[in-house]
Amino acid sequence: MKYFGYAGKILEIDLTRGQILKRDLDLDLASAFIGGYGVNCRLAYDLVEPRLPPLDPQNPLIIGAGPLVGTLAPGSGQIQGLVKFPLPASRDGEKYYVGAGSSGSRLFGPMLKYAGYDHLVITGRAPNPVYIKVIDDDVEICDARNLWGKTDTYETNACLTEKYGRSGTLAIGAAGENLVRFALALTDNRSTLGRNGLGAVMGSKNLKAIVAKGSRGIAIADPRRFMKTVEEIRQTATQNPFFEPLHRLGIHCAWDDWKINLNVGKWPRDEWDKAFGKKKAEETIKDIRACNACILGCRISCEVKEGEFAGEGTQTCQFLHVAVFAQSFNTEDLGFVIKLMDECNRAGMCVLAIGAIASFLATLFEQGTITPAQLDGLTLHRDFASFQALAQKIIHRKGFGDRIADGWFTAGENFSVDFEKALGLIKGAFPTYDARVVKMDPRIFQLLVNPRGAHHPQTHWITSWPMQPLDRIKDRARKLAVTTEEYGRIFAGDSFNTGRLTRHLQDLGMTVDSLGMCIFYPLFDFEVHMDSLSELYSAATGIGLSPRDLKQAGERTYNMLKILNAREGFTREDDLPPSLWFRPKKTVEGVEEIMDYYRIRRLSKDDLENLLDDYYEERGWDPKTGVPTKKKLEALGLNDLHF
Amino acid sequence: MNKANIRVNLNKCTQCSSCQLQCSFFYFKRFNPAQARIVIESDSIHFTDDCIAKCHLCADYCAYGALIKL
Repeated sequence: MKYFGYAGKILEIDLTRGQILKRDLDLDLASAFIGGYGVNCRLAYDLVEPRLPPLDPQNPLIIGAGPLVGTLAPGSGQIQGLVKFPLPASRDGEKYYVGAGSSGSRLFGPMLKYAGYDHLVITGRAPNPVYIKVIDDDVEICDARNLWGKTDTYETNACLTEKYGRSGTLAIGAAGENLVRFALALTDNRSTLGRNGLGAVMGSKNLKAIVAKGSRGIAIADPRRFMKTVEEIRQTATQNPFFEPLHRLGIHCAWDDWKINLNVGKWPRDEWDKAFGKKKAEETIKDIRACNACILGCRISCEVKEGEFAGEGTQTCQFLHVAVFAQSFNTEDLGFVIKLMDECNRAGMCVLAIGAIASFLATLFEQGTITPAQLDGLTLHRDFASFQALAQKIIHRKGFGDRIADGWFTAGENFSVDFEKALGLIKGAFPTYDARVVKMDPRIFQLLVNPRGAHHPQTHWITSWPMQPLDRIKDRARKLAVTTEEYGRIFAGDSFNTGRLTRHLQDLGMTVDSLGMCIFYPLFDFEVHMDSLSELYSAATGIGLSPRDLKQAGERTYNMLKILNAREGFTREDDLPPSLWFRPKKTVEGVEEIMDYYRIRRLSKDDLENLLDDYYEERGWDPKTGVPTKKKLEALGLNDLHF
Repeated sequence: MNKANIRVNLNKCTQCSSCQLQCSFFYFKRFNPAQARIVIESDSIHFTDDCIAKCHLCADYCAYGALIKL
């Protein structure tokens, strides 16, 4: 069979038996779930056993590269890695959510496609450390004993690219090897995959890395139609005010607007500019890399220019993470922040988790709630030596770090502090944003209702920018392929309904993730919406899906994702907001409270319950249980599924 | 080889592969950097011997100023 857009094969690797199987991609399944995240979810329905602990070897790691990955569609480098995440979602350690992490890739996703594979399904556990080599037909489970415990993520990438030439890599470091439940994997060095434990799943399989290289390329069903849409997106992009600044600063070009979203630390936000602002970013950024066919370019490397850590540097997806990391430590010293970030990246340890843990423990230490005796003698000051020692203890599971490495609940038990209440954890995970600071836009609501835990990016859109005019939001909503009735419900009042809008942004985000595109395009208001995505998909694959059809495929996948998690025991109870959101937050700028998007009205618990009702109703789910109804599943052709 | 009609600024290259994708798609009807007549390495950009002298499709698709049509 000839495939267009899709590479055409699913590669199945059983590490326990050392078996490698290649099977054809079923195009009916592919068109129903698009690819990437969507097909990952459908494969997971058959492969993920409900309630089986996440680090059991039987659990799969499913990697998907959507039908646009590796083409000239702008930003088409995203890969999706689906696992049952090992960070406990409940205090009793009984619940773990299933879902995919998304990662940009310069080479890994495209190379997997060029080698001939849309999906990689890895099960079992190798008897010894291994890496998987995928070079066209040459697929092999290779000995990685010379890498395991010896090379960090960057060094692993260097070893594999030296051996195989220009290729894409996915690699874990010490955190993944040691099954730290905050561990992730690094894709092509500059992107992270699978916050909240995908790296530990790889570690549990004795899988150090995957290297991909291909020479087959990808055919397109209707080249003229495909390139017409590519040209339109590229042409209009040059008119976008962020186009040129993105090339100099990456996503940090949005700092002036974005800093409003960040937690206020020791200094008022206006004073942050000197330490973390655009001028500082420009001085620190060394070079920028872009994912496949991306015209924005946001993967940076940075280098410290002065002070104790002069010459140190790291690679990251955005300078904003440097700023968030620094702000969580209450430090202006970017040198120590970048050095510590580099150590975390090399270990494949989530920087955001370390920032949150270190900051919170330092606060407890300052308050006298915890003592050096509870920290194996460590005196936890807000300096490099203290935080480095803390990070290394977690990464290598030494002393008290062993309990923290198992997640927030065991960390709390260790120090007799309720981390869940104090930090406002959602489904056992630390949310990147505080709702009291950001206000109730769909990205914040998504922290509650994302079945994959408190993770926001899928709903990035123009509402992630503060105080956008309602007319502009309405104008953009017309490109979400919503019906007149859906549009009317979203904008029934004098603003927009966050619960209802979130449902439709989830469908867009899931479509983007399933195609293999980057959510930063809709976020920065580039012309990537249901109309252009429908054109790209139909032209690439030869399977005609209208914008509504494509949106429904995104909806179908979202329902599939919810089913996977309903099977794990998640209900409406798990989507409730943390009590912390309703406690006013005192800062150096004043008091922050949870409010509506336009900062007019304070929101109560009842308001959030009402938004959840609206969300479930808009989804066609049972508002009492928060799971899909039989009627909805029938409408989506999913009535043969059970949960 | 070098090309007389394209100036290369290596330090501006983000390695997005757009140039290679456009080249391979135009000449071979597949998105396939392995077939492209422009070769991107981490420390070099060069053109293969069969690259057509007057062609500048790769430069047309560079969004970062790494390939400038002269």
